[in-house]
Amino acid sequence: MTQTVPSGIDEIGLLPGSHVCAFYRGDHDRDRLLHRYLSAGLVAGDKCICVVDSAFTAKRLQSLTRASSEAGYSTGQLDIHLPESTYLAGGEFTASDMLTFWTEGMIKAQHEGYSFCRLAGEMTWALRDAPGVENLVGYESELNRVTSSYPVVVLCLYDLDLFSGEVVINIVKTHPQVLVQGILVENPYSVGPDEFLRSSRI
Amino acid sequence: MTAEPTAPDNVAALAGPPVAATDENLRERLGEFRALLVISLLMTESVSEDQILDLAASSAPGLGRWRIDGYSFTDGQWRPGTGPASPLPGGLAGQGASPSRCGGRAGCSAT
Repeated sequence: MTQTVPSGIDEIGLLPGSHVCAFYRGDHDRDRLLHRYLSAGLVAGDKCICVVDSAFTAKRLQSLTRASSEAGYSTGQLDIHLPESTYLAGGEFTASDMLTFWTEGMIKAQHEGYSFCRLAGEMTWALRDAPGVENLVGYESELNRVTSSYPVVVLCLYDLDLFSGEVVINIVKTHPQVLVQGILVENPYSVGPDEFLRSSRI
Repeated sequence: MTAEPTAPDNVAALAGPPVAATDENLRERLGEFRALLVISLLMTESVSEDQILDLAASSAPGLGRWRIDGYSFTDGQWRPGTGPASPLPGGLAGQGASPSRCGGRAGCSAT
């Protein structure tokens, strides 16, 4: 399958397997991106799995998406999680556990009859003082391997008001596509998982 | 295309020894250029001078082994940057003012 799917954001189409990072400023901008991205998935009949940073955001997102996509929305189509049960389950970040979480979610969706998945992660949890968060860049690189094997698009959300430019630089290096200012910037030089492992061993 | 690192004698070697221009290194540089493109786009949507400066200053460590000591403005002003306070390298403020408004090379003596 090589046709693009609508991202829901600024008429941007994404190829299956896309792993996109998006930069935004503040809660309003985050909600706008997530709302449009997930609503497009719900209307298309995709399984949507999303991790947001607070219960408040989860509740607001649930109501936003429900209101805007009643025509295509079905119970269980949208799963919203918090970092405590995903990225930081057990009080620490373990990249392999998180990759397993996404993979199992996609396999379960396939068993439930969904032919396409739409994943999203608000990455603000990485600023918490928890063990393992220093492995974020390696995780992002490894996620490229997962996304290339499934009918899925992934959106990783980074708040520019919270993350430093150095993190932005490193995150861009590991994402094949970057969404900024309504423009999808292709990054053909993104660091793949094998390359990242090689460089981190040096 | 050859890419030999060259620098005037008076430029401090903050970025370490020269690195051979292998395919992998060149690809890494191209990846950094792409990251710079994104940083530039983010700067254009920034609503204040402070946001732009913060982004520029905090991005620098992601691109090499250097730090921001301060900012030189085209009106001749010098403002200290982020990080621990340190004495200004001799003559840097003056040299920072020498490039044209479109930028240019500025040399600084190693301290």
